[in-house]
Amino acid sequence: MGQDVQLSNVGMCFDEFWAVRNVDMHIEAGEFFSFLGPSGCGKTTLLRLISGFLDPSEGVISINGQDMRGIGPNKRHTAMIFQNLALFPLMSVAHNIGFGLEIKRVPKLEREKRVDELLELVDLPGVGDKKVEDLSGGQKQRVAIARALAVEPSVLMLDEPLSALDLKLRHHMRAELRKIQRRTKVTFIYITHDQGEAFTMSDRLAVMSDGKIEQLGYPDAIYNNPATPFVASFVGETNTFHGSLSEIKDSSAIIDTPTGPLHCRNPQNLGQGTDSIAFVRPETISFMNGAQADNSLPCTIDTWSFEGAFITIQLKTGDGKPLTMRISNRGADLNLEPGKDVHVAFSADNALLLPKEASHA
Amino acid sequence: MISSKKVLKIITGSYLFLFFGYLFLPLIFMGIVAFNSSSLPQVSPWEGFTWHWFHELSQDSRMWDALTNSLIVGVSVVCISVPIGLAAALLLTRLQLKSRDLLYALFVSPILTPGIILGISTFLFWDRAFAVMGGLWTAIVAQSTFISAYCMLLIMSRIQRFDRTQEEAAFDLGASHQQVFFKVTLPFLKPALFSSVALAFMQSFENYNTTLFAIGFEQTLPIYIGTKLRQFISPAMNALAVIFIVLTILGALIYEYRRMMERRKEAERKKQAKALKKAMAVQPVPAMQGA
Repeated sequence: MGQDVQLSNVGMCFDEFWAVRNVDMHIEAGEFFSFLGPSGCGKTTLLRLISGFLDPSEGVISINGQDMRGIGPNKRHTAMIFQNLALFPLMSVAHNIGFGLEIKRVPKLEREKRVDELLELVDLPGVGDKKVEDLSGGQKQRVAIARALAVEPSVLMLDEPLSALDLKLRHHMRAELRKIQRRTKVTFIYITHDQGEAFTMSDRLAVMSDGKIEQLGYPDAIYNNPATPFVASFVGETNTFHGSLSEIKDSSAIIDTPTGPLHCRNPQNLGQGTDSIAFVRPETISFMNGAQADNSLPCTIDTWSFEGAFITIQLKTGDGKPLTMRISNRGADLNLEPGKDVHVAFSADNALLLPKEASHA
Repeated sequence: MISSKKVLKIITGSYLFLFFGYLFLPLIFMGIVAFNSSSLPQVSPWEGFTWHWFHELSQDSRMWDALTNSLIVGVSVVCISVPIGLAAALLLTRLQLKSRDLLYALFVSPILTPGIILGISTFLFWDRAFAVMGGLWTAIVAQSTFISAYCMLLIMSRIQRFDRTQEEAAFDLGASHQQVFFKVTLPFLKPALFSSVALAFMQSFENYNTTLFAIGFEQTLPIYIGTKLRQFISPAMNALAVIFIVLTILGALIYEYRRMMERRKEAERKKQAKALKKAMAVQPVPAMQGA
């Protein structure tokens, strides 16, 4: 069964460089939690702190309420799946999986039984006596998972384990990992720079940048209500309009941009005159269909690309600003031609206003 | 007309013939001498086939003493040099010391130092510092200075191919530092350790110059041969050479045979594994499979 992980004001400093700063958060027992962020944002450092390969420069990490200071990786109820898997090449598959049990002096017969069960769990029955190098990428992946689960960890950490697989296999393994997590109820802490992975697998996730947590929440909340400009632009695609907030109406606000005034949603209640950015997702922009819209912009079509289920159109606004919109393909001929003048619209609800200077409260 | 291909073949053939002749003719001549009953080491005149020189060699008690000494020194050098080489290799590949390059130069320097100097300095050091006379011990120490450096280089080249996350993985799975070393690191280094044992023994066994100046009044086999050749020439020495040549060739043949068998086994295993991979390939996933 999974255990919870509490990070209290955790920081990690390497030679005056703070790789992780002020991380204060709680991961629930049995949760599938992801850290999402670009490379170098400190997520791997955070994982190594939780698994015990590093000691935090400040703050405390507790697992199941127990302070982990001074407890090495070999004494924690955690297991890690490394980015390169780190399987033991000289041992057979079964020996790899049984390694942790061998260390724990589990009798041979019981060990063999357990290994067989784990091979069953990861859908690899009967390959126990094979050599690691004889397995395919996806099979090695499963062996690594089985090896980590063999020691019955309460917290399983995964460091971008799918990055080496091809696209199809990656999608398959996402579902597979989720299934294994539900079956074992172990707390999974997953690290990735791939938002698709983070969104499809996680119960909750944290977006990281520069060693700090930018936002923590449910996947839909992070996508629909990003809290900082970084999250808004890192997660998903978005169009940005820079401007100064000129007028506040009860639920919305108007900013003056070079493209013209825009009606926006103002969840952070920014005051008049604030330098702000409006974020508009491409899929929330549509062609004007005569009805009244909060924001409508005259544009020219620059290029467009047909992507099967949807069509991505690159536009230029009146002041020459590039704008991306994405519409789903309903089979109708849209008569798209480069150079054609069109009117596009989006609602104030879909234009999210955030302050230009991110405030890290 | 001779085709250019044929010319090339002739040239290559004669080159190889000359090359191998240059390598092996002296050995063959030397070998033949061991069976000539003439008391001077010569091929002609051929005075008749004999095993006499082998018999004489086997009666030579000083030869047996020297051989025993060589074996003692060889085994001792292995016991000292391989652990030191392993430790040095681990140290140099692991520690992120600023002085790493300096340490490396220090460890390797005995290889670049003339053997005579190693021998003399070891001899003098033990004599002056501890009043220990030259003998097998000083020979062992003197040889180990540079042989451990060879072992270090051999082991280092293997360590550099080692993926250290394997150690972290073992540690993460509950192993202690000792268990990580003995269950993960050492098995990976095993081939390099075997080669350094062989290399260390052979280097020690054939060493002449360092040993000569360090060993005092004792004798190892190469020193015995050297002394013997200076005193008087006997075909018994040729007999000794023949024995070593035969042993070397036998060793090489056994090694090659075992490697061949291993390669055959490996190929067979690879073939089976490939079939398995094919059979167990992941089935196509439905496009919209939910998590």
